[in-house]
Amino acid sequence: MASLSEPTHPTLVYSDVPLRPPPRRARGIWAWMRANLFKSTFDTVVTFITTAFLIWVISGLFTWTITQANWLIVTRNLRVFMVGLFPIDDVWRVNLGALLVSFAVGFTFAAYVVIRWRRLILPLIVLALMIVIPPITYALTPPTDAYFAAGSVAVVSGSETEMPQEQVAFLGRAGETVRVELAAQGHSDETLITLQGFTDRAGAALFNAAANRFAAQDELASLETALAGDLLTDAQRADLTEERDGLTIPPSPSETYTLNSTAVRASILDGRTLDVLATITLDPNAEPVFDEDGSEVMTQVMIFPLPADGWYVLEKVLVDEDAEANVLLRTTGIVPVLERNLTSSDEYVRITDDFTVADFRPENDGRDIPFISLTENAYRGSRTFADFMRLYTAPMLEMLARALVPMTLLASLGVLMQMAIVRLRPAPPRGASPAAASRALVFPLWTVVLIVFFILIYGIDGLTPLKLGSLVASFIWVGWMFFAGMTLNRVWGRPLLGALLVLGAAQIAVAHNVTSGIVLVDVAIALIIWTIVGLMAARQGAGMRHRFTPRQQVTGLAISGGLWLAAFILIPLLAGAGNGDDLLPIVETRRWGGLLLTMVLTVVALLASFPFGILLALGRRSSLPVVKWVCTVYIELVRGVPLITVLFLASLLVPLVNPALATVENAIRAMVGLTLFSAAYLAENVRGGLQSVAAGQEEAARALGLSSTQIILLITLPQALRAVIPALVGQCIALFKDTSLVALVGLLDLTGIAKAVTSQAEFVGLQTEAYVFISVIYFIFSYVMAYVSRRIEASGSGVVRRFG
Amino acid sequence: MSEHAAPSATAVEPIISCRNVNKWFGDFQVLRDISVDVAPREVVVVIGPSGSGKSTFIRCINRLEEHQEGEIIVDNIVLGHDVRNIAAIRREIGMVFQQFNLFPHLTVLQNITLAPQNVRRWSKEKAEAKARELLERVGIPEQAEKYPGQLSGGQQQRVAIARALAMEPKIMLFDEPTSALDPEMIKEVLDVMKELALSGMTMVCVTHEMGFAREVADRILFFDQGRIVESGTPEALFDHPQHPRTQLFLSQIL
Repeated sequence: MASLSEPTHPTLVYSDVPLRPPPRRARGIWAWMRANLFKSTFDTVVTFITTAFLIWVISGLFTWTITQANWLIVTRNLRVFMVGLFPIDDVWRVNLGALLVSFAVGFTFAAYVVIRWRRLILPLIVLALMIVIPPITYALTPPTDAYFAAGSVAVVSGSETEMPQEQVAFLGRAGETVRVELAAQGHSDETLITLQGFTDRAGAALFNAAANRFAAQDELASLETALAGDLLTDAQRADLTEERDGLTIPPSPSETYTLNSTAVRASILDGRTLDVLATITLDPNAEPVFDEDGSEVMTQVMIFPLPADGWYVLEKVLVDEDAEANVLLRTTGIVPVLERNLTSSDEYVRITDDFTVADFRPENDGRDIPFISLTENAYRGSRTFADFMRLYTAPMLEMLARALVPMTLLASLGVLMQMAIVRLRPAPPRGASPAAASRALVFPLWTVVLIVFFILIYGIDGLTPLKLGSLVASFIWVGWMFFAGMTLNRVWGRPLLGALLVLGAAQIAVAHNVTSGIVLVDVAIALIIWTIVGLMAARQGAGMRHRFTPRQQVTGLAISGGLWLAAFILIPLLAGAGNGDDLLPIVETRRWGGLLLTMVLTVVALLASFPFGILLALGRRSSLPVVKWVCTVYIELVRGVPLITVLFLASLLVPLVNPALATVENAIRAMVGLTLFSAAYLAENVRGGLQSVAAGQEEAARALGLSSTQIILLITLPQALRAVIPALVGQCIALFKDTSLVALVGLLDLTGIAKAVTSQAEFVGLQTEAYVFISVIYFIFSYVMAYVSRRIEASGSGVVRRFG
Repeated sequence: MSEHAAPSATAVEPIISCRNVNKWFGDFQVLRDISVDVAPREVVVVIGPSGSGKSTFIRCINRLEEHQEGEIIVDNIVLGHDVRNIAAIRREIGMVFQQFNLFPHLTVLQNITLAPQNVRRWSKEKAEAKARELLERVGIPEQAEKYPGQLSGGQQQRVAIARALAMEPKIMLFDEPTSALDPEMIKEVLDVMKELALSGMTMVCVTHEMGFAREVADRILFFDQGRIVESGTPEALFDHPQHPRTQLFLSQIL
């Protein structure tokens, strides 16, 4: 909108027809709905049909999520989804990296978006719910039941024959209560089929036998009703009669096994020593016992508080060992245990709360006692809502909260730091926007964060605490040089700069341990690089001299110096405390996986393919025929080939072509393939943008005497790239999701991990939950990228009016 | 038709000298045997019907178009295929376009300081000081931090003039500078150009503003079909056009 900043002549005020605000439409939500949803009959019909459809879809999804989805696969494997097979001891490095990135995201967000507190209410509510729901659930819902069969008769159900086990092991924590009693559901067939909870195999067989019996009885009844009808032909009658006679009703389990009619002794044993800690005789024929008040004393229930963390064994033996009968016991406080085997470590974990005991399992005479696990003791019966919340939803929310809350805190810290900088900034130049000073920090911040992130996840060979301190001090030293450049014009300015340069060289020498006398090539390279960076910072500081008062300059010098000294002294002290000499051992890229690998692949491929793609686009428009031909052929070739073949080529064929390349790790090959692929598509997008820049721009630049390179860098590319931001970000989003294809070349990115996780024995059949989970993750990141794209477009840099 | 001598009677070395310049676009000849001398501090206004080659002619002077035959010498530098010559010539010539061609992604100040900083290697302070001084000169010092899209047409063209002047050129070329402007804004741009002419700048200006030409021009060239049909002082040309084509053209404009 070209608005005149000052009128060339004064505007007249026409007082006979004054300016008025536009007429207000009828206000209120009903008026809006009437105008937009129900304007005509057709509108109304469409609105109703669409609303009904939406409700049907959403409620179906919602119902499935709440009542049927088994989120254990997400809860117990969250670490694997996030970082793949990263060594467990080093996961803290990825966490630290994620926190740094959250900080940078908060900082950037606040630099470009006005924080309206009202808009944050919805995410904060979601986060608060995630934090609050689990403890409420645990407090309000009863613990889940686990049913065990005891006795001497093998239970037969259909084709299964299961023998009740005498002992089953479980994990328990100090203070938790285990409760054992005779299952009321064991009295009859009708009650058997109502049980809801974890069941062992024999108990499940009892349950199935009862269910089969009822099913058979129902079918018999329906056949009888059919036969009683009059309108049957003789052939039909004969068929139905044959079917009815051929039907066998399975025997009643509660009668066959005389369930819950004999006494059983239940005991809790210590896992290691198998000493009896508590025991009870549960007798169905016992007389009720009353105490002095006349109220019944519960003698048929064992309530035992566990004394310590560790393994326990539940032992259940019939009192009369010769009796041919079975008993069904109901327990609470016994929860299935998982054996972690995806990372090939023998660890036993309780499914609800990650409580773990390493390596040891109870044994009896040298044979492992079976423990209650998800594969052996699946949940039978229809799931109660309370059990669903307690077993699946609350743990998942707890795990998600544990990850999201620190990240949110760090992002808020970033926002606050941004606001602090805006308050404390030096005066901006006349007319410039106030946020410009803090926005200038965004790019360096992200550079530092990304470098540190990659250092964290890959590691540095032989990083001693002293080296770490000197590395951090180097970054601070750059800031110190910045302020030193500012004070160059003072009397002591130049000597100070010289002193700082010497200090910089000294810190590099210390870091590389040059005191041993050997000057290595990489020390020389580091020296050169850091000196150049330091001098550039000083130059930048000199250019910004007028923005800071002298007092601010000296303060900056003092603070930087103090921080530098602190880094050099404190960090080695703190980091060296008992951590040995290798702070960041190298983690090879083949251990990277999950969301970590997806993000790394995306970021590396984007950063590498952008310059390459821009060069290709410029080359394709070049007037030199060879360059143009090569670029065109490359672009068309790569665009004509599916990404999966590029990945296969990169991963499988390259080592065959050149054996020397076989040592390049698979992840690197995938990055190269993704880069080459993405660069071709980017080139076409950028070429479209280049074509959209008005021809007059280049003419005016040439007339001013700018060289061709300068024209491309300063005039053409900035406008071209701004024009195609939607397409560029679309390409980024597509690349992010295309990284899932590396699962087909054996890399365990987010999709590959989902496949690996669902192949575990305990989680077979839970693919839906796993893929829904990763789809949500993909969606969140894609949505954030699209949001960023919209913001860039809407800001001033996007709305570039082409005048002339 | 006839050759034109340099207007100033004194034997001043011409700053722009064109000898038998011919140019073709493909098979179509757009400039036919153009020979013109422009003396320093002279203001030459070029008029003519559309398609007559006037824009092409001045674009050839700073090599935005290539001439196939003939000789163009600017400030004693021969304009040919030598890139260094072209660069040197472009440093001495400033051009103002009909469509302004300001850089929309830079502020007004950055538009003006871009070339001095990158071509003449001035420091940022020197370039900005010069830019602000030029903005004063063209009358819009307060627009320094705005983007071109936020300015009116007249203001944009004045920024374009300031941008060209920032390189301290010896010659200014104007290619129909006011043709894309609102009538109300033409005056402010013409005022700037008048002040520029009066301050002694060598100017070659393609325009339809006859009033401006009459006031400021030292010489008028009338182009038609790629040839200079007639040339002379404003009084001579406007009041007493010799060639019938000139007479026809002027009768339709004035």
